[in-house]
Amino acid sequence: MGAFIVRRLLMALLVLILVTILVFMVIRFLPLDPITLYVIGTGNMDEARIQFLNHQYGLDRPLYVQYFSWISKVVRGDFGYSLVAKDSVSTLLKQRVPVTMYLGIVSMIISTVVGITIGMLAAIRRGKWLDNIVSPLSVVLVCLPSFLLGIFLIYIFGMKAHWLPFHDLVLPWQNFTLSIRQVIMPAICMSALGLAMNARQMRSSMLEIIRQDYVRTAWSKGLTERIVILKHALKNSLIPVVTLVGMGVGVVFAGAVITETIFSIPGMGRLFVTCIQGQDYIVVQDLALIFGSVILLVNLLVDISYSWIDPRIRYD
Amino acid sequence: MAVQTSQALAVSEIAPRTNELRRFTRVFFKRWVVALGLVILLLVFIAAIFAPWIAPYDPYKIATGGALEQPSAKHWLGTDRIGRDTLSRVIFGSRVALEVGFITVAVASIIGVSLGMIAGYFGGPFYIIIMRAVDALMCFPGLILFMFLSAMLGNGVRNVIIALSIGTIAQYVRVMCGLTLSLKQNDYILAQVSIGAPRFRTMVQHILPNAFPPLIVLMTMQLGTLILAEAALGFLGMGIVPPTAAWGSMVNDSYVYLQTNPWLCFAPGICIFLVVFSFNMVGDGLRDALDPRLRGLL
Repeated sequence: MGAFIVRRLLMALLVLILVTILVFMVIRFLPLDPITLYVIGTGNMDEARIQFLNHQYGLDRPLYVQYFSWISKVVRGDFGYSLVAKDSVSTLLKQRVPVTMYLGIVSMIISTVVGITIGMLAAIRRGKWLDNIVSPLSVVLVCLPSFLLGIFLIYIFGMKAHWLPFHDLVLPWQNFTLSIRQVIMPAICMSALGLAMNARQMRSSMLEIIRQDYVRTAWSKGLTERIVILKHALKNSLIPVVTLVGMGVGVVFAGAVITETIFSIPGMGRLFVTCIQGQDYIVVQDLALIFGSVILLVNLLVDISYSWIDPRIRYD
Repeated sequence: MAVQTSQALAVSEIAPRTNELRRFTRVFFKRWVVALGLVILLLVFIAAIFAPWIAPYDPYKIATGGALEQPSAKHWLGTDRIGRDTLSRVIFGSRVALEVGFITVAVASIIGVSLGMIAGYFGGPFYIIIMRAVDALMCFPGLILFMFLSAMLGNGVRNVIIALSIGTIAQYVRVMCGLTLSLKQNDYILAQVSIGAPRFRTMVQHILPNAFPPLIVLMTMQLGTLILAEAALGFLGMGIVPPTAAWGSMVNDSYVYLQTNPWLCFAPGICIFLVVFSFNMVGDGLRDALDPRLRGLL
């Protein structure tokens, strides 16, 4: 077990290094050199200024020097200075990260809790109305582009019914009621895919588990349905769902890009889109690294927690 | 009693002679949604191939009517902000969607399957390098990776295809590597090795054909995913940009008129949904018909 964790950590470190190299190289192959583009954008094409900025950002040094200086700064928490926003990336992140985290946590809670509950109920009431709508509904949600779902929500609940605001997102401690009203639609939009996947996985693993002998024994002891399902069946059927919940973090990041664009929310996803469009390579580079490392970390945790959740799994 | 049971088992173990094709079609069409998916796909293919004859107007012709007209008998889905006919643009959009989907799947699967087979068959350093690179690629959520790559490559159909191909190679490598590892254990591969057959021939003639059913299912489902990804890029204003008639960029283009002209947004959006849905359903049907053991894995 200890050896497994050590080996898994080393592997994750290797992958992390590959991720940083990938991010770094992709940025260096941008079609137009970002500094030139920026100088053109300011109105006067000035060779000396391009050279000055290139020097200031260290872009005239050899690639490997640039790579190591970037890494060593990031490790120390210095993410550099944005070309377009004219602010340090850390400041930008300080404003953006809480918004995305708020939205992401709300939608993770919805997709996990609602998805698992629906999947569980569908499995124990097999063939009833809930079970009959779960599979088609999850197929529809998986295939529905999240921007289309967002647009439908905005059109129906925002523009026609005037029930919910569909612009901006404030944090709960700034204005609680407004914040709750604002988060509903983006959170639905972002959690739909994860909810569908969780419900489907939960239903099939629950169906598998309630056929097991130990569940039959629990029934035959005369235990109530509540105890049989919640105490005996639920825990074991959650094992495959853990992987999906881990994958849900990736879904949240990808969803944030689309959802924050539709609902004009000033979060990390929106920042990523605007910086890619504005060729702000420093911010893009840092954000891509953050997205990649968070997901790497979550995958690592999922893998390690597996052996704790299910002791039958042995690593050798 | 016990004897009878074992006899009954012995008889039922012999598979009845069946016509493979008939069995395939029976299983494939058993679920009505699969058939529905196939019908929708056929319609989309017809629309894409015969677009110039089906579309009532030229999709790029400006001012075939007034700007932002509501749906009417003349323009079934209305017109966009510079008076182009929405229905014609939606019909032509199917061409871009299918083109991107099919070419990307072809490119990504050829590269991915080869790499996966090499990693699985040779093992050792090949396995470590290829699979860790795949892990690194898979650290990024699909859309983020696609955005990242297409920002690097720039806009246009060809660049979107390259970006999506690089972004989806990892899936094929993973699946193919797993398949190769398990197929390698079979006696017929060991027999090949023992007679000293060239490794390239073993891989191409014996491993590849046996890995085909799961790969076909994966490719069909990827078609849906890729069309969705291309549309998402288009919606974000990247990849395939106006004036090309592509569904994603049409939604992006008409999003501001949602309040007054919702069909400008809904029509291309619903097309994306229908095509993705159909590819997924057909993939499901193929999986059940080709190899039901894959249920839950693919």
